[in-house]
Amino acid sequence: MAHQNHQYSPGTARATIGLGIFLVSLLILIALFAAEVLAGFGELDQKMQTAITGLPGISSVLGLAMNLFHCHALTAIKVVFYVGAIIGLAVAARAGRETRGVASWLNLPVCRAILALVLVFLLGVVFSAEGAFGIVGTHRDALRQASVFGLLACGMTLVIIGGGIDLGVGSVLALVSVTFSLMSIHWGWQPWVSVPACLLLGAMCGGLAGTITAGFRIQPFVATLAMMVFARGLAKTVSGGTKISTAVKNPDGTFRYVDVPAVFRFIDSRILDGNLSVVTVIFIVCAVLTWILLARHRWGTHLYAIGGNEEAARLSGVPVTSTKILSYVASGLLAGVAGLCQAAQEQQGDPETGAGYELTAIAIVVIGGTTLTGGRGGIGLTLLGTLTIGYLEKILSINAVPEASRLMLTGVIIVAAVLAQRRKR
Amino acid sequence: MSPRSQVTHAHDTDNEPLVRMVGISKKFGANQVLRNVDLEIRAGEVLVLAGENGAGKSTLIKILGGVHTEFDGEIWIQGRLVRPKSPSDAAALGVAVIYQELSLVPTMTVADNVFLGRSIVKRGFVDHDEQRRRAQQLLDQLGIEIPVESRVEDLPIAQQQLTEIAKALARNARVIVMDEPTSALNAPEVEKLFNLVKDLKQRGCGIVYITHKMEEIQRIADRITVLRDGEHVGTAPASDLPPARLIQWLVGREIEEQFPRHAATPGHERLRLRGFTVLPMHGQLRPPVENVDLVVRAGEIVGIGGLQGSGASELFMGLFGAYGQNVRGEALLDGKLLRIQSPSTAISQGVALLTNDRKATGLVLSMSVIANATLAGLPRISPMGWRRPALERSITASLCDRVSLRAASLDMEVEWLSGGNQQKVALAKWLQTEPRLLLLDEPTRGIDVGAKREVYQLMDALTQQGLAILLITSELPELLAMSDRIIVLHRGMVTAEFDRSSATPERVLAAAMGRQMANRG
Ligand SMILES: Nc1ncnc2c1ncn2[C@@H]1O[C@H](COP(=O)(O)OP(=O)(O)OP(=O)(O)O)[C@@H](O)[C@H]1O
Ligand SMILES: [Mg+2]
Repeated sequence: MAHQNHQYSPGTARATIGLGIFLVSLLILIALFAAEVLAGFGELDQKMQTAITGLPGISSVLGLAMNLFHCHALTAIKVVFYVGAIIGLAVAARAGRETRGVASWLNLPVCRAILALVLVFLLGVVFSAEGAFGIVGTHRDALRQASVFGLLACGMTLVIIGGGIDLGVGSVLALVSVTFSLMSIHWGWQPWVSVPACLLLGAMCGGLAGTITAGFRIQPFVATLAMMVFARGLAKTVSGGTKISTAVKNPDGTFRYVDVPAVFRFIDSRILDGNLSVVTVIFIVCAVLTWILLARHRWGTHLYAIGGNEEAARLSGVPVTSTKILSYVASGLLAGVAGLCQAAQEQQGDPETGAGYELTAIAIVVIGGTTLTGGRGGIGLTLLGTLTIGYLEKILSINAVPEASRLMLTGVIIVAAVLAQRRKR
Repeated sequence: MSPRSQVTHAHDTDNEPLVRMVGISKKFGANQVLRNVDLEIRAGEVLVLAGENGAGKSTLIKILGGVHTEFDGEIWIQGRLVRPKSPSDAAALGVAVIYQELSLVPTMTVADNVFLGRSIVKRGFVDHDEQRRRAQQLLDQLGIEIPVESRVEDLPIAQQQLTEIAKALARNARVIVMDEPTSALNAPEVEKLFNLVKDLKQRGCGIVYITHKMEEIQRIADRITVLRDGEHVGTAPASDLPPARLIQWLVGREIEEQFPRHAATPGHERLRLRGFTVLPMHGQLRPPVENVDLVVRAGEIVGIGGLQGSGASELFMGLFGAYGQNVRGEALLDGKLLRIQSPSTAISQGVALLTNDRKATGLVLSMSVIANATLAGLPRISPMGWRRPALERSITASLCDRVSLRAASLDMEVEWLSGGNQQKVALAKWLQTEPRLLLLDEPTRGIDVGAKREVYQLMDALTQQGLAILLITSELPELLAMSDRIIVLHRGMVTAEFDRSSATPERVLAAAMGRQMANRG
């Protein structure tokens, strides 16, 4: 025991081998997928099946696995390479702690966020739902569905970098979505009035929560929890407890149907020959604006400083209170934008919508690699996190994984991603 | 035990050192921090580990203390090859470390911190009474007066450091490593610590002592090991290394004149305080600063002497607006009323404050060198709010030159810099704001001899250009040599004022202990 000699070899060799295995597996998977898209899933699968039956040893093993898991020969082969890719990466990442060069990049949060995304993406390549993953529409929808969460996550990133948390975003989203529907459907307001009004409403909710936490020094968790409950109640009050839809109730109790407002149809439409949703464009624009503020404006630097060491920031002349309040305002504003999108996509204002979205947004931020303790992170990371969660959801849904297992799987994957992001001191 | 066996025991330990570290190398990424370093700790002696900032002293110690577990080389403890895997593992091997960057839990009490990780347990529950009693006993033994019930975050930095020392001693370890334990202590506490070290030596403990203070090295070193840029320069008995030679080993060249201070040419009145008082806060009974009158002229360095609780740091914080409007009295800056509201108003009026605790109040450790160095000056660097990265970089580069910072890159997080280099970044931040009045609270805390001299030179040059400096330092030689005048505080009140010719260590100390001096002018 005492005389164990732990000489550490420089892990360069192991890192290279690991990365090599990863890259080769990656390429094979992509090649298989490309062939599948070109030739059609059934075709290729059939060929695989016959090819495998030709080889006695492999066929029995793979055949067993195929029968056990009810999967296609092609899928079984892809699973093998997928596992290979993960093992290669794990080997490289372990070795990367001791070496320099490419393998040590694996320690950077950006690299880890990218790799998490690649692994999730590959999951789609492996379980392509008989080729569905190869269709443009799948990706367009994945991006569209991720956009609302992404908007919330951008705001959440700002708040978390400043050392806070915003639990109110899901409710603010519902409040804005209800208000927007009311204005557009019932009152017939024009978008240039209703959109700014709704955004102002979101920003005010954020500003209120921010003032309570930063101005009166109440823990952000508590202050925004209060906002979460309050805004939900307000949404129900505004809507009278029912969904605001295009079925408008007449005074005599009957319903009349009105047209879906043009602004709803616009937000819910697609551009580029139907290959990109407007919602996604809105998300990307907002993300870029947030990135500019965070990385290129003094305010962003102040936010990082406050999250890193509030007292040192204050003693360096950083206006702590106003900077923090503004981060909540931004978060509320972005929740407002998300609310508009939500209303347009659902074509109604549901006061119950967006429940639990704040948690998804936090998960996205953390998976990206922004630390919950504040001071470290960025919008780029959150963008990667958004894609990771968005694709995960989509892949599970095209493979018809039942809701219950989907939730459990998502939980497991969140933990795995955060573990991979954990900083080593 | 028979006398004979005792003799052999002593003999054994003479031959076999308590700890032998052989050929230690350590890399952080591409940065080779230690290269083939040897270290030997013997029973009953004080080994001083010396070297410039960033030489790798703390890293070497952290390897022994089980903080860094990936390294090359061997560690032998009492003849056994070991590899400490965690701090508790190292503790079990009989090694206790007092870390440079304190490792206390701020929200817990002194007693809880002292017994952290090895709580005294009775029937499955922590026995708080017993812990309190034992902690009190320990502190009494050390002659330290700290209320064991108070939370660590409420204590001044000096008392925190004493708590850290008590925590290490509570482990009854055979090998005790002290990484710059006196960087925040005043003369009387240092004296207590030295008595303690003597005591530990007699009990056969081996002590590693890291410091940048020459007087301390001369007083307690038995042997000295010197590191430079991660390499082992050499080890020699203290008697073979007189100061001049030691400095040669440390910096690789000779240094003239430790305190380069030119005769001051005081200009107009820069700062005048009349009846300046800081009101009592969080449960204090007395005002920490009471009725202070003082004058600082342009081009002058005024030193503030005082022991723990003298209120000197609070005076600075109050003046800087860190306590908001919790202050009374009159403050004039260049003849105009100084508006005291918040640090940002102070900065905009040309006041800068280097705080005495770089980790808690000075730096944002998670940000880069550039971000820290420019943090206080952003309103000037980016007037419209949009940042100018290239300008920030060039400003930082020239600042870092002025304070001779040693960092692998300017984009590196400050957290990974050595302690002394962190201090230099904090200093750079305030130079960047080009202040008229510079409040320096322990500016040379934890920086090496070469760099200290550079900081003194910088202070000298700045005052030549007309800047006024107020200086707090716990190092008496520094206070005496650098100050053109010295004002001594005791319990928040001025007890004496000296000019250069009348200031002697004895008189300053006497005034700091509260004796009113007659020659107050
Ligand atoms: N965790 C870390 N990651 C990266 N670099 C580090 C880390 N810890 C220390 N370093 C680097 O290692 C070098 C040696 O640091 P170390 O703290 O050992 O110096 P030191 O001799 O204790 O200096 P000082 O007298 O200033 O305390 C420095 O250049 C520092 O930047
Ligand atoms: Mg050190």
